[in-house]
Amino acid sequence: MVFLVPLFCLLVSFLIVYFSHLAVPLSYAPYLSVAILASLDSIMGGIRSALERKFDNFVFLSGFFVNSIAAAILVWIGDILGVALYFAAVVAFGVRIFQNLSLIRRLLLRELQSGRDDSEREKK
Amino acid sequence: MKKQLVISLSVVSLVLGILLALGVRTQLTYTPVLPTTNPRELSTLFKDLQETNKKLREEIKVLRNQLTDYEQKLASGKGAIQALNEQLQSLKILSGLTAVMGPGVVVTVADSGYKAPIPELQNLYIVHDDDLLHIVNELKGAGAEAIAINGQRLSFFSVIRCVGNVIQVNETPIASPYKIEAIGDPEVLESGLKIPGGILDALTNAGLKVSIKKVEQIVLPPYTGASKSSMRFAQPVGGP
Repeated sequence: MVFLVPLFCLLVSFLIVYFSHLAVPLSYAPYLSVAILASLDSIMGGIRSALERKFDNFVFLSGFFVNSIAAAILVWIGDILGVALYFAAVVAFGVRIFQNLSLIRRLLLRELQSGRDDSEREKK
Repeated sequence: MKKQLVISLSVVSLVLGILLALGVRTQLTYTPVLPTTNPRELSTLFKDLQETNKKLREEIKVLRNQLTDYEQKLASGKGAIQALNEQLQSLKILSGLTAVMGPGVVVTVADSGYKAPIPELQNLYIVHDDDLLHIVNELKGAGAEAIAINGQRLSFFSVIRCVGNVIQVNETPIASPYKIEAIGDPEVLESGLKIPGGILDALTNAGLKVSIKKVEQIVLPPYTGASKSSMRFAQPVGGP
C-alpha cells in the first residue's frame, strides 16, 4: 500500500499545476520534454533497482539530478548551435525507459511465478 | 531502505507531475493556428478560405451599394440633408467606396511573350509591382479621378506590392495581363502616359505588351478591401 504514495504525489502535483494555469514559453518546450523524460527514466530505474534489491537512495537521487542537468545543458548547447541536439537526450532516455520497463516486467513476472510455485508447493 | 525508496520516488513523482502538467498547459496554450501541416490538406483549406473570402467581398459590394441607395433615399428630403448627402457621395467617390462610371482609358500591360534565354533573366520579362505603381502614379498625375487594377478599385489606403512572386492589389493577388482602368479626361490621361521617355516607353522598350484604349464609358467597382470605420490615430485639427 505504501507504494501508492508516489502515485498520489504525481496526481496531486499534476492537478495543482494543471489548474493553476501555468505555462512555459514555447522556446523552453524542448527543456520540458527532456526534463519529463529524465524524471520518467529515474522513476523506472528506481523501481527496477528496488525490485532487484539493489536500491541506493544516493545513486537514485544523484542520477536524477545529474541526468536532468546534463540533458538541459545538451538542449542549451543545441539551441546555441541551432542543432536539435536534444534528440540525443530524448533517444537515450527513451531507450533506457523501455529497457527498464522490460526488466521491471520480467522481475515482476518472476516474482509472481515464484509466489505461485510457493503456494503450489504448500498445497502439496 | 524501503522508506527511503518511497520518499525518493515520491519526490521524483512530484517533479514529474509538475512537469507533465506544465507540458500539457504549454501545449494547450500554444495550439498551432493551422489544424494540420499536411500540404494537401492545407491547400484545400486555403482554397476554401479563398472561396469564403471571395463571397465575403461580394457581400461587401452588395452592402455598400445598399448603403448608397439608403443615403440617396434619405436625401430625397430637402435642404441641409441633401447638401450633406451630395458631399458624402463625392467623398465616397474620392475614397473609392462607391461604384463610379465615366469616360477614361484602359491600359493593358502583359508579361513579355518571349521566354528568357536563361532562367536568371526571367525577371526582365515580366511586369513588376513598380511598373503598375508607375502607371498609376502617372494616371493620378494626369488627373484620374478613379482607378482600378483588374477590378480592384484603388482607394487612398490601397497597396500595390509584390508578395512572394505575385502582385497583390488590396491584398488580393492578381496576374498578367493587368488591366488598369482610370476615369478622367481620356485625352489628358493618354498623353500623360505617352510622354516621350515616360513609363509607356520604358515598358515597351523592355519588351512588355502595353496598349492604351480610350473609352467613352467605364464602370469601376467599389473598393472591397478592409476599411476602417473610424480612424485610430488621425484626428481632425480644430474640429467643429
